[in-house]
Parts: sequence; C-alpha cells; structure tokens
Amino acid sequence: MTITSQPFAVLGFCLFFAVASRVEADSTSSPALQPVKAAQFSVWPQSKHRGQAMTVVNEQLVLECRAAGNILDCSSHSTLDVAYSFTTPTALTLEVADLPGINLEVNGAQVPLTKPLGSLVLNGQAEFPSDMTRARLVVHIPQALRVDASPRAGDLQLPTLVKRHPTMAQYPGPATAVSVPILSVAATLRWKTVTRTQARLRYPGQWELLPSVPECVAETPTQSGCTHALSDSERELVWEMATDGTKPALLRQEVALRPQRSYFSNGGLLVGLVWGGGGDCLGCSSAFRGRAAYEVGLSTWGLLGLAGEVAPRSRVTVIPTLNRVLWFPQFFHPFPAMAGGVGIPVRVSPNPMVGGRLEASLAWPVASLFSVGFGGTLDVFVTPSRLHPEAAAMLQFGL
Amino acid sequence: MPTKITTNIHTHLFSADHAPSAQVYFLLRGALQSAARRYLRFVLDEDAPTTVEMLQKLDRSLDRFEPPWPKIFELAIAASGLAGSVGLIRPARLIDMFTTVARLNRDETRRILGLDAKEREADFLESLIRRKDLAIRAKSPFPFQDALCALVADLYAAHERNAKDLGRVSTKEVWTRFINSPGASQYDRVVALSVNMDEAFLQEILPGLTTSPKIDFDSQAQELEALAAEVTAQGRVTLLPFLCVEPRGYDAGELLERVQTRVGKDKPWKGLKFYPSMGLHPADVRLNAIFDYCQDMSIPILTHCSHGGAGVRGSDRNYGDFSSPDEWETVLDRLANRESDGMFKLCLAHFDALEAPLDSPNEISWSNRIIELMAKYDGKCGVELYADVAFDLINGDTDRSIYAQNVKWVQDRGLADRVLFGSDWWMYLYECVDEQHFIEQLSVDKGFWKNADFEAAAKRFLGGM
Repeated sequence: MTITSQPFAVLGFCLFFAVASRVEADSTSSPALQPVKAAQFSVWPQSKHRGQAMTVVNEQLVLECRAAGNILDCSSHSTLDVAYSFTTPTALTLEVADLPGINLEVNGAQVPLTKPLGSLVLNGQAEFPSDMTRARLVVHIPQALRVDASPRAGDLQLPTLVKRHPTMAQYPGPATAVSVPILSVAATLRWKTVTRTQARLRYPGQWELLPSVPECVAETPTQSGCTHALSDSERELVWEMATDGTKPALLRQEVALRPQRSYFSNGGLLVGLVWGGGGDCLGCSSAFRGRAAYEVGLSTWGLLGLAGEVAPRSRVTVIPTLNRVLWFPQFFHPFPAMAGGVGIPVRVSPNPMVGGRLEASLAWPVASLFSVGFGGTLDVFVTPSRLHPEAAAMLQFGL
Repeated sequence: MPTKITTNIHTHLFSADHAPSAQVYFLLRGALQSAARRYLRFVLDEDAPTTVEMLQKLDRSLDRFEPPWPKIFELAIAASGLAGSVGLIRPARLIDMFTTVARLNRDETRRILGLDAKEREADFLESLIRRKDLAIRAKSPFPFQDALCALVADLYAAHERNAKDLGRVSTKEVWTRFINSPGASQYDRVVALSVNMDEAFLQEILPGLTTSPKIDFDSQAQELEALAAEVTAQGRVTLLPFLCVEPRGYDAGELLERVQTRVGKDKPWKGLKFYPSMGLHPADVRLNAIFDYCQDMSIPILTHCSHGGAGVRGSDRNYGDFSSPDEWETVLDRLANRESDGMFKLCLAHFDALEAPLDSPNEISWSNRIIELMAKYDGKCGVELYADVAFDLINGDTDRSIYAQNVKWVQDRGLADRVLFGSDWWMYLYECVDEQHFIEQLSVDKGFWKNADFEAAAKRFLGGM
C-alpha cells in the first residue's frame, strides 16, 4: 500500500485512519453461503405462453431446516396440483432450479433432468395427456438452502481475538441473523394463476425467530392466515392463502432466524517471556519469567484471560485478566491488534500476596498461523507496610 | 479521416417507468459504490492486488452495511464540509437524473431526501443512515439494502402522487430531452437500445421493492417502435431501435419467431441488444437459431460488456460476469465455422471502460480480452467484432494519460476502424454531463480518438441503415 502524492490523499488517509481505528464489529455480518429464493424450489413451464393454459389449484411448499452449529441446512418439498385442458396430448418443457439432488415427478413418474448449454436451470420433458385434466408435480430438493449464521466481523477486518489467536479462535460476537426466503411459485409468472398456496417452515428449537418477522402479509387474498407452532425440539411457521383466481395467491416472506448463542467465544493460548518487575522477592533486581495464558472472547468487545508467570527460582504468579479490545481494518497490516485492561496478580510463592495490574498489548498475526505480540504490565502489590509497584515488558506468541 | 460525428450507436430512450424503482436503486447504489471506490483509490495504490481484492469485498459488504461502511459514511458526513473535496456522492446530480428520467418533482424529491436548498451531501447521507438505523433496529440482515429500498420506495410514492397530475413519462418525452441536449443536434442516426428487466425482477434482485415492472417489456417495446417510426418519418434523424432479447419464458421456437418477425433491415427493429448481467447467458442454446438468423441477415448486435451497469447483483445471485467477453467465445467459434453468406456483427459495448493499462496483464479488466477477440474475429470468417466507447471518461478522475495510451494501443493494432461512438444517454446524467462532453472528449479534433473514423465504423456495423 502506498499513499499517493496528492495532499487530499494524505488528508483522506488520516481521516479514514482516524475513523477506521474506532471500527467495532458489526452484528449484522454476512453468511458465507447465500440462499436462493424459495420460488426456485418449485417447477414451472419454460414457455409462459404454454403456461397460460395451466392453473395451479393448490401449492404446498415445505422447508425443513436442520442446524449444525451456526449452519442451517434446509431441504424442500414442493407439490403443485395443476388443472389443464388440452385437446391433444401435449409435451411440455418444465424448468427447475439447478440444485444438487433435485428430483422432479409428474403424476408419480420421475422426469429426467438435463442442463442445456448456457442455461441457469434444469429442463425436463413431461407429457400431459388430453384425457386427463389434472396433474400433480412434485419437486424434492435435499439441499435446497444453506445459510450460515456464524458471527463474523466484516470482510475487511479481523477481530482482535482472531488476530491474537489465528489458529484457535472463533469469531467473537453474537450470532448473525440469517434470512430464509418464502416465495411461492406464483412469483415466476409462468402459470396462468395460482389459486391456493400453503408454505411451512420448520426449524430447530434452539434457533430463534427475530421479532422483525412480519405478520402474514397477503397480497390480494380472499382468505389467509399464519400460525407459529413451538415445541422444545422443533418450531413451525405456516402460511396459507387462497384467492378467487383473478389474481394469483402469492406468498412473499423473508424470515429472520438466529441461533441462540453464548456470550463467550473461544480464544487461544499465549506463551512468552516477561522481563522486569523484580525477581524472587519484592524489590529484587529485574529478571526473566516464563508466561503462559489462555484467553476467551467476551462478545465483540473483550478478552477474559488467565495467565501464569513463573520465574527460574520458583516465583509463581497467577493473574486473571480482563481486557478491552480495539479493532483495526484488516488491510492496515502494519497496525496490530490492540488490547488494554486490568488484572489481579496473585503471588502464590514464595510470599503469597495480591495486587492490581494494568496491562496493554499489541499483536500481529503471522501467515494466519500464530501471532507475535509485545506488551507491558504495571503491577502494584499491597503489603502491610507499603505499596510495591513493578513494571515489566512482555514478548508473547499466540496460537 | 475523422469527420463530424453523426451517429450515436448507444443511447437509452426507454422510460424509467419500465422499472422505476430498479433504475433508481441501481443509480443510487452504483453512485455510492463508485464514489467510495474513487475515494479509496485516492488513498491506496490502485494497482496493488490487495487493493483490488479490498474493493471487491467493499462492493459485497455494502448491502449488509458491514465495516468499514459505517465509518466511511461517518467520515463522508464529517468531511462533507471540506469544500466537497472528499465528497462521497453528488446529490444534486442524482436528483437531476431522477427528475429527468422518472419525472419526479424536484421539490418533493428534495423534501423526501431531507435536503435543504444547498443540497448538502451530509443531509442526503444522513437521510439514508436514518433509514438504515431503522432497518438495524428491525434486525434486518441487509440494513443498507433495506435503507436504499425504503428511500426508493419513498421516492416513488412521491412519483405516484405527481404522476396523477403529470401522467407517465413517455419514451417520446425522453427522446425530446435527448435530441435537444447540447451536442445531440449533430446526429443524423441514433441507435436506441431497449432493456428488458422483466425476468430480472422475477429473480428478486431487489427485495423490498415492487415485484413487477410498471410497464412490461412488450409495452415498452411498442412505444419505442412507434417512436422510431415517427422520428424517422420526419426525415431529420434516423432512429434505429435494437430489440432486447430475453430467452427466459420462451422456448427456442417462440424466441426465433419473435425475432424473425420483428428484426431486420426492412422491419421495425434494426438490431438486437443483449444485457447478459440481467441473468441470461450468451451461450444459452435457445439463442443459437437467433444468432444464425442474425449472421445470415447481417443484423447488428450490441451487448453490454462492462463490469458496471445494471444487472442481477443481489445478495444471493450475481450474474455480472455473464457480460464478460469470454462468455461469447463458444458462440463466436461456432458461428465462425458456420456456412453463411452474411456476417455476424457483434459490438462489445463500453470496451469495459478501457481504463486499465493495456500494456500490462490485468485479471480484472476485460479490455485486453476484447482486443484479442476483435483481432481474432475481424470479419474474414463471417464474424466481425466491434467495441464502443459509451460511458468512457465519464468520471473526471479517470486517468486521462492511461486512457490515451490505451487508445494508441488499440489504434496500433489496427482495430480503430471497428470502434464505434456512443454516449450511453441517459445513464450518465447523474454525472451532469451531456452529449457534447463525449463528442469533445472522445473524438474529432482534440479528443482521444482523433484518428479514429467513427462514421466509417458505424456505417460498416449498421450495414448502410
């Protein structure tokens, strides 16, 4: 990265840096895998002209979602009851979404699907006999939808926790809300009309429905309604709509779901050296100590840690710590992850005592494998006679 | 030798009412992204790979308003008082565009956008942020997209109110505005491109916006067809409409029939328009018969070939790369090996802005690839490729020296006789320029393409129409 010679560039850089250095993780981060629209879980004629001879008298869509961690995997099962009237047997090209494992049946018979060159959808040929007036079309998609609610900061930056512990840390923060689309087949405008539609969304009990979910909003219905059934293991939303056929029954919902999630997220190990702050006893000369610590993330803002520091001649100190983190955009590589906070150093041996600690540290991730960091501590131990301040510098590596 | 430009190969005359909210949404989103890119390029090394990657991530993160967008907005608002030097967008120009193409009432638009008489950009941005905050409070996964949609919905509510008195803006009114704009009077041939957004709407590129166009494509096409006949009959300007092809919703036979009955030298439509980033792939087998027909009849085709512009670029689908020249290669190869007495003439519009240096490899820009294909398909094998310069140099901060070098690069390879002049009217209006801007910058005596003969290229492309 270089800065151009224009003066405004320098001004802009300074302003941008000044502002960006205060960037906090946003709770509205993106799922890694994006959904397709639910209308794509159904089937429609390739030619809208031919579709004008066919009416969907009943549509049923079931989205069944299972959770694996923060990932929600949904299968879909869509059934269309179609009314038509052909004077001669008619072969129709039907279209379905190009999704893994998709299966199309017409009147119980499986329809072979092919993907023509340059097409975004799969095609299947089905015969519609002239001596019948009804057909049932069924589409099953085992992997219809996958959405990821993992908490992440923006694409452009790494949280401090991840910068400090590149190999072991989870992304901190509350889980992201994901959007599950419910869109009935009328949205394709390929059928003459759709007179009745029902959609069901089943999702695990450990996921929560965000309050922003709108009520059942019906577009030109003659009757409509929705229910929200809850149980410990599974929850179900049901929408229903019917019209007189003059306008299609079109369901359109975006449901926001979020996994219930712990406030804590995994961090990782720190090992290093501490120099200064006295030796085996208060007031002794400076010396090296070994240091090991484990940290966990507190939402997006903090680090909770437990450190142990051991000097060669059996001085042992245990320090619970609480740090506030600061965030930097990832592309400012020269700028480290920063944290500053407080701790309670508990001298275990040789002379047990308790004090207070102020600490600050910087860390740079190295090739996403480990981090290198520097820091400083100021301990103040309390004895009956006086306060004993000790300053020390740290070099530490994070996993 | 260079002559006065009398042919504009690339204009849009369709009413924004075809898909009004989509148009405004794209304009707003595009303007914001373009300005943020401009700003970040200002402070970063434009050629660095990390910068390119960062800009791509920046584009993706806008709809969800992820970092660093909150801080970019914060900065833009804070910096808006600094003489506009680090300004993010130009609200006055956006408003000019809304009100021109969609006949929004200017005062009403200002009021809805929360702008005072000075049209401070901070007010505009804060208006957006207020809506974004509402979306975040509602736990929306896409707060910025929702904010933009809410803004657009408000704008069009105002449009509806005004439309009661003013009526719908017609294609003819858009034409009148065009032909009376500075510089346009010198044209005697104008290609009017139609754009079909019907299917793109069905794919819900814009959640929260209206779900169907106010006017479907066929109605828009009827209007443009009638206008072309009327304008051409008046004798001063020949208006050449190009029909936008959208295969979705048709089988191959229906598609061919639609084109054969309407497109040809002696038919209402004189050429075809493709907009692949709307979600149609050039290699779609249903198009084969149409391409054969165009080759046999030497019917010109213009396709969008730029990273910018409208298209399906939603949070769950992105067909922007369908506009890449590479996607045409299988089509071109097949036609080059086909027996035909005609010529398949395809214009890869915009030259992908021609702003990345051509003398060094660039994985992002398509300009080099366009040049390779133009060199390969030079007309000797029944396929002839062209490019146009529509929308080029629209931004004041485009590096003019690189553009000049690129023009020389194209001319040195003997391809300038297949470079066409176009302006992209009305897409450029938010930058507050006019036809004269393009005529002066790109051509004739003092422009970058001063050695190009746009007129000869247009004559060759249009085949004497």
